[in-house]
Amino acid sequence: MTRPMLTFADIVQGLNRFRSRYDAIDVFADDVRELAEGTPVLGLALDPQNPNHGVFHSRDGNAYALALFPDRGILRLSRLHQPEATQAGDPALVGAFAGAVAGTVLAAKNKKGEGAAVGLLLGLLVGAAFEPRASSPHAPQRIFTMRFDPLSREWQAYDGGLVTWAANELFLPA
Amino acid sequence: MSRTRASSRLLALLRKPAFMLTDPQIDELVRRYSLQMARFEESAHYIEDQLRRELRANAIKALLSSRAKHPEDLRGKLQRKRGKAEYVFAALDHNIGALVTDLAGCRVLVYDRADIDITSRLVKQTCELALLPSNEERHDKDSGYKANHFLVQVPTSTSRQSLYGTVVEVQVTSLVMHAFAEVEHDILYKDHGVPASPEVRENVGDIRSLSWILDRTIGKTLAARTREMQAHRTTIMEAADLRFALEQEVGRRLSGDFVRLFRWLSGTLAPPMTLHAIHELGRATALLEAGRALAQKHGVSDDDLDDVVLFVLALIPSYPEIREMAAEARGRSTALKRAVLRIPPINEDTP
Repeated sequence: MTRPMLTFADIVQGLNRFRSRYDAIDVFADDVRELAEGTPVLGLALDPQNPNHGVFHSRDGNAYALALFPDRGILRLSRLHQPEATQAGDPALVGAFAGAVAGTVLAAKNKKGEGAAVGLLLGLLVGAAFEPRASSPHAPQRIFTMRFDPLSREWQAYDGGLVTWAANELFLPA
Repeated sequence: MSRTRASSRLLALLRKPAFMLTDPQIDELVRRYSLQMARFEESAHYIEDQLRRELRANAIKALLSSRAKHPEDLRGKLQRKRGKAEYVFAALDHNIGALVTDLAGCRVLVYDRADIDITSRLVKQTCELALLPSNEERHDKDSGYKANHFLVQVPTSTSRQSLYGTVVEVQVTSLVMHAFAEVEHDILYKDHGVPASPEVRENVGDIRSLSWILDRTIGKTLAARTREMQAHRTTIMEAADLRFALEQEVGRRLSGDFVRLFRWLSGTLAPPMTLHAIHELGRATALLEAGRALAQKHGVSDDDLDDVVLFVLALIPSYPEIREMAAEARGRSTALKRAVLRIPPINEDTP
């Protein structure tokens, strides 16, 4: 039985769950089908300056910045406020991206370990500083831990036993 | 003039040493010092700047000042000390700074008495001690007065060649002790021939005691505040830590499902979770009050209210997603879940 996985469309759906309240979503790279299976990501244009970065154009016509964090095993998709210079089809660029994907997926598998989060597809929404004191430099950033339900193909709030672990592992400090 | 006073003046004259500075010699020394005063002033500034940078780098709060001795103060000092063996005109004329070591002075007044010793170490690390006897004096009196004095010199490494080797006296003490010492000095030692009355002396004694208490209280307060700040920055690792931190703040035992509260905060506040971060949402007592107001407004049953419920209700206006967490919470419908779901959804487009 194949384990349930996320698609890029699922990740975009998660990011937009609270409309524009959150700016980015972090997921483990090995939970993303295209990355784990090494298949091309449709709608992805790569950043010629950085093999870990690109722009994902979703079917709904919106563009999102994609970033891989190979040392953390994380894929981040964030709202794109300004278009970025990208390039598609350059074989050298595609090869470099594939290398970054493989490294990130491996790091994610190592991070999760055997059986730690089997069957759980976790995601973390990352937003601006917490109200009502968002102007304070010490105000904590707003996050929201979620799990993806593969049957309904929807994201739900996650407050299970791994919530602290998930927040610590998926949150990328600025 | 009485016979007694006349004979004591005669005795004083007989005791006057042959090398004693004369008034014209003092005039001459003061005149020459006035011509060199700018060098002493700049040397004092140079040491002050060095120390200011070092104290800032070490996060020590202090007031710094520097000055060159006023020529009239030098005159007074020479007149007072003219009988001392080392105060010979030729030696003073050759290098007055080697004998009168406080011509250039820098004062470091720390807020916290505990910083006197730390600052003193920094003075010795930052500056070159002058090659003079008694280049370091430590005062730690039973009265509570504490100060360290150093004689340092402008190092040869400075680009200001004209300042090389100039001796600067650095005094390190606390702000409070300095204020007390100034008052005591002006009243008891510079009495201008009018000795202080017993009443004034008693008042000075009171000021001394109060200064000591104030100095100690400032130190204790700053230390307690540092401990508080450290506690706030300590990461809250589990529900029991969270409960303890909030109980400490509120000053009483708190009730409710702290495991759930810890989980929800873990999933909503970017890590690391600290009391400092929680305080950014509001003080615990204020959150409890806000939660109670919201509970009353939306008719949450008193049976469902405990401290954790009140904390969570208070967070809903700024974090409406908590409703979703409550809705997804597994297990039976707890008081917390029931209370949260009583609060109507807030428009998600409102940031």
